[in-house]
Amino acid sequence: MKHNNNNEDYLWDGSGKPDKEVQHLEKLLGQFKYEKKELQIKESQKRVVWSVYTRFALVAATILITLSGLWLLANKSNIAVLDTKIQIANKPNIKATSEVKSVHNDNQVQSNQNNQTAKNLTIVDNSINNVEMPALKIKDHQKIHHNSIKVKQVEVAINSEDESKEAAKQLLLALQIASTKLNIAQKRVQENSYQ
Amino acid sequence: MEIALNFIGKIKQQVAKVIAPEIDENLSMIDAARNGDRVAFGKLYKQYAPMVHAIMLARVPRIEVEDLVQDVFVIALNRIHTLREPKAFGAWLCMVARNRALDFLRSVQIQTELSDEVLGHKQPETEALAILNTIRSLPEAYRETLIMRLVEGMTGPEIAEQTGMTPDSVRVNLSRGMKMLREKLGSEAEYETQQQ
Repeated sequence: MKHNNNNEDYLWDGSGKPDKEVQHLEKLLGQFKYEKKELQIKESQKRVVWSVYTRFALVAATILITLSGLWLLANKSNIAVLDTKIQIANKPNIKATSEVKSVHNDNQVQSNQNNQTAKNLTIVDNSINNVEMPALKIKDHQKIHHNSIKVKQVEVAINSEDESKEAAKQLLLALQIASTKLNIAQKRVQENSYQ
Repeated sequence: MEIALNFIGKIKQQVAKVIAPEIDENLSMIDAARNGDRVAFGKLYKQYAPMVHAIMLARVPRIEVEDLVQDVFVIALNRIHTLREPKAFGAWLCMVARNRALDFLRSVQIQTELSDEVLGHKQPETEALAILNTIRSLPEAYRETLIMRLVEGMTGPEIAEQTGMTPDSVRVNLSRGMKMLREKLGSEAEYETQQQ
């Protein structure tokens, strides 16, 4: 098996003195050479190209989901505010009531004894009106009225909480329906692209 | 000395001017194929099919080679958009082909290890088949390069250009591979004469 640089050149690029052994191998193995064929691609093997409509639908769905998520977050914070309001409404406002009492007594004393001007009285009355809860003086029918207001406030708060929960449920349902529709649309687009 | 260096530099520039349009054309074809141009991909198929055929022939049963070559190009067609560097197309295609061959061999082993005789693929052991089998028994780098050279008739520079290997590596693989093949064929011939 003699071979020199010329044979190496022949093996490299077919130049130089032909190497008989390499030539023999080329001749023998040439029968296994690649035979030119057209590339046959079945339709099912093609990559699905996303159409403009599919892309648009996906983008729209993403925006919808993001917006509804934001809405849910905002709604959740509203529910938290309502909860705190309910807690405040349930607590008796003792401090405010006592302050009102003292102011009101002073007012009576001043009006009876010193004959102060109506202006001063108005000022004092304004100070009474500025107090948050209307636990003014304290007749039975007023107490009942005040309690009924509190109950109404609590009922409203509870009702709005229920409403927000119901709205959240409805929104989730709507999202599920929307995503199902999108899936169906996507399948149809893919089927069309295969066809 | 400087004059000699300048002269070599000028020669290199001239060679680059001659080769550059071909390379540019090839790269633009790969780029077009990446962007979904089927005609460009068809040209690439014609150009690179022998290389993929050689890679398959070095690994899988001969009867399966044609189908697997088609498979490789279908995979390449569907994934070519993931190719970042057009220059790396050849090396990337080699990897796709090797992986497909590996997958095929695994699936065959998993399904049933039916021999060629059972499948009816057994063919008479000709001299050519014996040599091909001997090449297949060589190390991977040598067998691929030798099949590209001896079966597909590609030259060393062509092998280097298509596979992405350096010309020096190809030259070494060819030289050492041929040496090993000669040794093996020689020892087999000796064994046969001893048997007779």
